[in-house]
Amino acid sequence: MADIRCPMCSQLNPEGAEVCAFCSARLRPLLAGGPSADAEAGEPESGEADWLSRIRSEAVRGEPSGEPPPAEEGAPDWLSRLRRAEAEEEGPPVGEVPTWVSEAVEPAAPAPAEVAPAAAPDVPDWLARVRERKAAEGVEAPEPAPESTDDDWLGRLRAPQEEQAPAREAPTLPEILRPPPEVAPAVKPTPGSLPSWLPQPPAAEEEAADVSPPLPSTPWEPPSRPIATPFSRGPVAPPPAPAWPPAPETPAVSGPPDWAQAAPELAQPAELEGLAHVPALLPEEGTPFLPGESGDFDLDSVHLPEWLSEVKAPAAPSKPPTEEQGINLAPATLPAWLEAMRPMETFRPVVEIQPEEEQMVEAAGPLAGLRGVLLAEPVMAMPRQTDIGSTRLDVTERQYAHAEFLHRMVQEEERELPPAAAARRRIPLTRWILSLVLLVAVALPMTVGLPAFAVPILGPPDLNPFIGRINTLPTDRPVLLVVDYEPGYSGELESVAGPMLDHMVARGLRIATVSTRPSGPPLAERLLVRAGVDAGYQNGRDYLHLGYLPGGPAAVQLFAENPRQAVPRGYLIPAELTSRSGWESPMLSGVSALRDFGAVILITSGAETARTWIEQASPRLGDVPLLMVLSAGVEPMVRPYYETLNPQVDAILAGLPAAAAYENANGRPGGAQSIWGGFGSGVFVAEITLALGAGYGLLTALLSRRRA
Amino acid sequence: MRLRASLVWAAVASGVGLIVLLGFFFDIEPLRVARQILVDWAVLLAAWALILGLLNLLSVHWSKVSQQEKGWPYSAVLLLFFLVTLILGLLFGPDSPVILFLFNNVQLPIEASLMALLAVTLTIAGFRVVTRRRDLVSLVFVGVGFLVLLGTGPWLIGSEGVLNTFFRDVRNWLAQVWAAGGARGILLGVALGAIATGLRVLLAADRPYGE
Repeated sequence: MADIRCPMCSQLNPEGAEVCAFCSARLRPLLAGGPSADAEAGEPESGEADWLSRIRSEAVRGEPSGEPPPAEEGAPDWLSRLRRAEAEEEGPPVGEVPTWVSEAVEPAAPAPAEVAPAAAPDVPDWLARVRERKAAEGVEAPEPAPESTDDDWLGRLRAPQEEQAPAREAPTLPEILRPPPEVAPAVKPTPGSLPSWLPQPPAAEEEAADVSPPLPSTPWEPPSRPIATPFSRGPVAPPPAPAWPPAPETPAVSGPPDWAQAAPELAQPAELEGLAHVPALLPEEGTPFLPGESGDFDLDSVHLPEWLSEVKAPAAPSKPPTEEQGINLAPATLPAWLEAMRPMETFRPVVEIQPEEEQMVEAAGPLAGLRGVLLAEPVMAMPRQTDIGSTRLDVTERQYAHAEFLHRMVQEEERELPPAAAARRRIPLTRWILSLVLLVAVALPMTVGLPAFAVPILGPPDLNPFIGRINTLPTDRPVLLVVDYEPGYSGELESVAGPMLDHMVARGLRIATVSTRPSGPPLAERLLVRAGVDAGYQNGRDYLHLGYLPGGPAAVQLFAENPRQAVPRGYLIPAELTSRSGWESPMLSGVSALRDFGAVILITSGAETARTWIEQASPRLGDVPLLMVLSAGVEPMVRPYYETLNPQVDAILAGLPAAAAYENANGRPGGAQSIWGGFGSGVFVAEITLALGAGYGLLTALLSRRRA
Repeated sequence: MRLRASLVWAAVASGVGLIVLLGFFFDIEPLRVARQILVDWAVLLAAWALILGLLNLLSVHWSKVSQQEKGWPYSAVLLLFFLVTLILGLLFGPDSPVILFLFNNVQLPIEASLMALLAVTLTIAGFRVVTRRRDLVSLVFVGVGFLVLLGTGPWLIGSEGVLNTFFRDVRNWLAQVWAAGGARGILLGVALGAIATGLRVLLAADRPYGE
């Protein structure tokens, strides 16, 4: 009893020890100034727990509670005795938890049992006066309950109920909560004389105003969905139906004070003392709800204090309220017990820091005497909203930023982009200048004759074999001239083939033309007219156009097999010939196969065409030479058929320089030399352009590297 | 049923191919005649393919004009002159002076001009390559072109000098060794590809005529 239990290591220490002998923790709080000064002044705040302040002040002063504090005005005697009794017991520091709460939390604790006998013989003055008046009225006073040291008026309020429903009496109810059954307090408790955890009686002028009409007597229905209670980690089943519907908060019509019945069942922790105003009245399990017990409570059969009796008169409507009256309830007036069960916010958005002088001094524990200590109640004891099953989405800042970014992306996708402004068109100055320079360079030699480029005398190595082949062609057999190039290449190939045709015309060779392209026959006509006009070559007599040979490679193969069958219709066949094919011409009288021609000369600009004629016609040529007049670009592709041990092409003539040299060899300047100046000038400008470009590129590369 | 049909088509294709191929190696009269007939049919089919190509060209441009697609005026011009040429050819014949006049004064100058533009475009492209893309490949490309032009074109100082002859030999070396070597590789690849394709068609591994 006299030992002091260490709050840190829970070891018992002898009375009077300042520090724990086991862990050296301070057993008695240090002296603090602020709150003790207030306590010493004896000026409790109105309506606050003055008794609690006094207890704390005692603890702050370090005085053992062996000596009862001087009685204060307005404080009931029972409270003083209670305080004296509490000072003798062991347990938590004085003033932290009222004894009755400890009893409610731990009914098996020995402290209440020790307190009750000490306070048994004491009866408040007002209670004594009530008893005396009752005795004078002839009412048999009940045996005074020695255990009732406080709140007898509340116990009496509960007594009639217990008589009507004895099964509801809690067997573990502490003795202090067992008032004499028929003793009513004669003295109305004044505001401030009651502990703060008790509902203060309203003032006289406020009592009438606070009385609200009773609720309809319809049975209250429990909530259907699970309710997250502050004492549970998750949703729990709906609580059992209370024994009475949610009643107005006036204590007059609900019988005994709420805490008197709720305390044993709830086992409310001491930390929730601030919520003591919540009438969390729950009936005992298995107790059926009887409307007559509470809803239709007969106030006349109960002895109430005077201040409660004054309230009773205007607050008892005889008939149940109508439905409209029920609707007129303010939507925010939840029952107090339901209000107490609402979860609190998980965190406080704003931390309010009080000035240092207003901060509370810690009265117990190792931090006793320190000011500004963080309260543990909001973290440890206060009800909070559970995370499990919470409907609130816990979103971090990063997640919120991601969600916002995704939202913007979706909006960007849905947004229509404005039409891009038309880019300012830049004048391709370089392109225009180069084109103009090239045009002038090609046109000047052909118009003015300047600059003059010397015509090559020596041609390429392939020229002489070609000229030799032309010189050796038999004059008694016609030469097949295949004109297989597009009109776009006519500028080059007509100049290249011109000296060859001049040579052939000079030799008096008869020429038969054919083409695998629709535009071939007109091109052949242009070539032969230009070459034979001076020699008096005539169509049908000296040359003949066999026409268009459709069918590609298959047609070439067929033509190689049977030329008369492959080309049934000629081109520009003279009228004197009876047949439209031209094969009846005397020039082709002895020709029935490809090998009957004196030579096959192919003029082409395409490697594919040259390959087709080489592959399809050369097997049927026999000893007939296959010559080719080529564009300069095709020459590398045909040369493999020419420069080989068994050449399939007997001679090639490619490029304008070879044609110019051929003209020199013929001794007859032709088309090649007429465009030689323009060709040379254009090539020269192209060379300069490439050289300037390369120089500019190298210079900028060096400059950029130097800057880097 | 579908299997039988595909077998028939495959047998026809393989048989025709074998007949034409054997005609190259054996000079037998029936085989030669059969081969000639088959090739003649192929020529007719190729001619019809040309006609089908023309009809396809007409339909494509006609749909462009009817649906007012982008560039439809050019399609309209093409259709107009296509019909004019076709009508004139059908009326006067392909070797009439009218057609020859149109050819010599419209088609040939236009196509020759396009080829001339190609020369200008290549020159400008060479300039832009060396000014904007300064890497080794671009320099090699332009350098080779520069050497070929030097060896091909005439020189103001005369085309028979030692320097001109040197560059001409360089040009011939480039064209007849490097370019011809590459061309041989290309031709060999084309020949091998043609052989493989022909064998696959003969063996019915490839059925371009359908399943």
